[in-house]
Amino acid sequence: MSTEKIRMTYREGLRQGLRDALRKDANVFLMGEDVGRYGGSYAVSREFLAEFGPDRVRDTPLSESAFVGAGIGAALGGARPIVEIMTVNFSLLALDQIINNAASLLHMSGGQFNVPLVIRIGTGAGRQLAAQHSHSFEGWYAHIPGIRILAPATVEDARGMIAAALLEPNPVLIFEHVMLLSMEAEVEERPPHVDIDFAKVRREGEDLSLITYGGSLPKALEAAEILEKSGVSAEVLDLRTLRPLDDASIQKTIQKTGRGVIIDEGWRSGSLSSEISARISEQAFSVLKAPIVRICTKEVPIPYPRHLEEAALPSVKEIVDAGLNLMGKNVRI
Amino acid sequence: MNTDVQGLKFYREMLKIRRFEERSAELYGEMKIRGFLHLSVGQEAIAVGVMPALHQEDSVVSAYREHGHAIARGVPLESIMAEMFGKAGGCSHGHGGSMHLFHKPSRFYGGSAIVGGGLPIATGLALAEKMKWKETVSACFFGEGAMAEGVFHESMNLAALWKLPVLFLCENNGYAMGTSIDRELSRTDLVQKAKSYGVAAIQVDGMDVLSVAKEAKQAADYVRSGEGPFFMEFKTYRFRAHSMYDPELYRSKTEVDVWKKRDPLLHLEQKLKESGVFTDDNRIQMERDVDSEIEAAVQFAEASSLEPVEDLMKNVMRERGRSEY
Amino acid sequence: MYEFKMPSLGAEMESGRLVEWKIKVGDHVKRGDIIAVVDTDKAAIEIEIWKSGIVKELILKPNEKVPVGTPMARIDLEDEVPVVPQVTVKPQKTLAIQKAIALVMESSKRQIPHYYIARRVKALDLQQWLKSENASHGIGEQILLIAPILKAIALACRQFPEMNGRFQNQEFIPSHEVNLNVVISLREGGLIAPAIVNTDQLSVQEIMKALMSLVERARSGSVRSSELSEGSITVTNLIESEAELVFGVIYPPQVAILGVTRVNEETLNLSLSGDHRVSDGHQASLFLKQINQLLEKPERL
Repeated sequence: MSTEKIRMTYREGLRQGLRDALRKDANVFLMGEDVGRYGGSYAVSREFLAEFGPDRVRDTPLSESAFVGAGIGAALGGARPIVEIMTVNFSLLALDQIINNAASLLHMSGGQFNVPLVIRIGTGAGRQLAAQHSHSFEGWYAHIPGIRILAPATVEDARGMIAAALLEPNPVLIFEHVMLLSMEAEVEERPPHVDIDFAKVRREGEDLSLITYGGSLPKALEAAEILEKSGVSAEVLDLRTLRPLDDASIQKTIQKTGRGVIIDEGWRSGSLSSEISARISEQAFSVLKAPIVRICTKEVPIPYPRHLEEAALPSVKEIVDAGLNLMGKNVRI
Repeated sequence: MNTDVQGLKFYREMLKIRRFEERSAELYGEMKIRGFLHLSVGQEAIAVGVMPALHQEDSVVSAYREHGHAIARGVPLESIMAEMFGKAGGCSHGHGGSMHLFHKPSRFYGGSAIVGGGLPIATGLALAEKMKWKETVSACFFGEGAMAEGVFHESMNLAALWKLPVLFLCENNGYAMGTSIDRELSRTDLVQKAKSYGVAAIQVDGMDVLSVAKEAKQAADYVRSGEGPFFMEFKTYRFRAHSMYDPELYRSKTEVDVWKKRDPLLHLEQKLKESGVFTDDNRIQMERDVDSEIEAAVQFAEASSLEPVEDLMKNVMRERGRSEY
Repeated sequence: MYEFKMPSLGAEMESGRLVEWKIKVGDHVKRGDIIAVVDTDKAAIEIEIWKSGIVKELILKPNEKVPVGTPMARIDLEDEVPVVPQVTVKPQKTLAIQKAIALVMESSKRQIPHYYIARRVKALDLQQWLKSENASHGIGEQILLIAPILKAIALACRQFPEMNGRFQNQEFIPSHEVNLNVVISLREGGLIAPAIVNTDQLSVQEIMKALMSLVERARSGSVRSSELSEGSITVTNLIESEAELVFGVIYPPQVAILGVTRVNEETLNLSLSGDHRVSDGHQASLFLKQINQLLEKPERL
């Protein structure tokens, strides 16, 4: 294996992962709104049409229910579709197909029909796109048995999760945070295998655990840096797979630090952060040195103006303050 | 096939569906079958007439009034009954019940209880087949009620746009549950609706199994030849209530009686008698035969075991490396 | 006598109140007739009867409310419930066998790249030979068509080692013995395929005897497990069915399964599923040809 390092963006990572998948298996095809001629609304599938042709890079009409349903049908029929839903808000139009068909078919048919479908969805806020284009519904989807939920938060994961998802015989939803697209990082030239069964410690620490995923990971890492300067050693756990949750890794970091801050871009009530917090209190109550703290999006439709949008979303400052407070460094949050 | 021979075969098949469903209603009253039970009594000619036009490698997607489709497709009778009993011997191992019959060997993809939910699945199955250059048909049954759902229009558009081999089979029994078609659709000309998407479409008398068979064969051949999707509207009527617990406040007895005069079984029986190939004795014998077959299915269902509770969580996710696809 | 009981029309219906009878004692009712109106929590519903006969007694009076399952009327049935052909349903056992088969078949289909090939065999000479043979045998010693065919297959296997052996640990090892597994369907459903050891060295008569013994023991559940594992190739016999072709799933670690079916009185079909890691269509076609040639001279078998 070559250890050559190259720099690329999250967007290029996604692109390379997809391109490799399309090259590797003729059964794989991509469909979604504007994935072809337009090159993908986030330019992820740019130049794919020329390389793979219109049969395997399919522009669909604005019919989320039909093209997600068709993805399910195609998967049942032996193809290996990757469906792109431009943004998570549009996925609501396909919710029936995702839940009532993709997630249910295997069990409902007594184990006869599995649905090996990959759905890629742009998620998250931060680009002043206002109330209908800024959701984070991945925690919602993580509520549903029968599907796997991935949230790549690094360039390497963005690149490698497609291949990993294609090894799954079940429906896999990949939530790609739109604020990460231009993030750059150094990665190995030849993509290593990405193991989607486990969460990953992105930074070791002793005093407290910042548990997060997706678009909030860079914020957590930045907060950890700042905390370090105040003498607080924060461990950062990237969940990576939101369903099924890697319980063991969550418990392990809490066992180690005894303190937890969960950062989740979803709305707080009934969120993924609620679930993680509940699991910690169920399984690690006795080692907790302080109550779990949750930093989530304020419970409001995301507003358009930048200052209000920023105020609504989890911020680095909130994370730092929470960390200091947990360590008794007298900060009000 | 000689029409009389075919007619006799069809009669037996329709009779089997009729008696099977009537027996199911009885078993429902005895609490052997639970959940929702939607019967297709009166609509049997469509399932029986369409299936001979489909090949083994074609796929069939259906909705929740699908016992007839499953039986006509060849899903084993006893496995359908056991499914409704919720037993392990059921075609979906008892996990689905009446509304979710699935059978992989017959490429029978259920069994969807969300109106219109099967339409894009059938469209996608057709897409996969077309991408593999296979000359197969993806057949999808639905009711006219589904045509008010957005997903119907989305699927029609997609199938027509990509010229996919989908055979859309609309069983128009006049009622979306309790809402009559004229109280539901602004325009009730269903064929015209399909044609507006550039999809070839015809209306067929769904009470006459022979015309159903004839037209379905042509339609399936059309789809198979790569011409794109085809839409068939079958005019039919449901003789029984929407489900078991339905006082039928939305329609008159006279209306039901008028349609019952066009009973597909009666209609075919008269035809066969005129041809001199069928007598009352034949009919009685056939009823006996069919009833024994059904009783055997009931016995199987009774005797079949329950899925062990330990297996509850099985099949939520298939383990990696175990996909046949 | 048949007791008509208050039916349950939904999970939420616990009881029903009789509004009115649509029948009276002495009436002749037939299957499908509406015989009563019952009021439930949801609405008044017409209730139908599923049997035909004469009304003997109306147990329930109008306005009485009873739980579901309570007898409402007694009917003298005119026609007994149809007689069920005696199917012995033993689902537990059946399911176990089916599950086992499913597992093996599934792994076979996953691991073995199957290919399929078929050919016709003229069986006129064979039939005539069989007829004359059977004329000289006693009633208990009649030979069925499958016996000489098994012999021919066994002999052909000797010449085509790539059809007769086991593929294990990424390696094919031809078998020194020709042990034909024969698929036997069990009465309660499911299949079992025990082997006739050294089929190639037995006479047709001996093969017939071995086969009968296997069938008997398979159906009484006394097949030895060694008989299931020592086969080197499997034969599925569907001569008596109306099927024209059968392409079986190879029984691992074997590398071929051969189907025998009948097209018409004079013609049989041999259909073979082979393991492409070990053999190919060309070899298979020669193998089938060889069986055909052997069957052309049944007296030599």
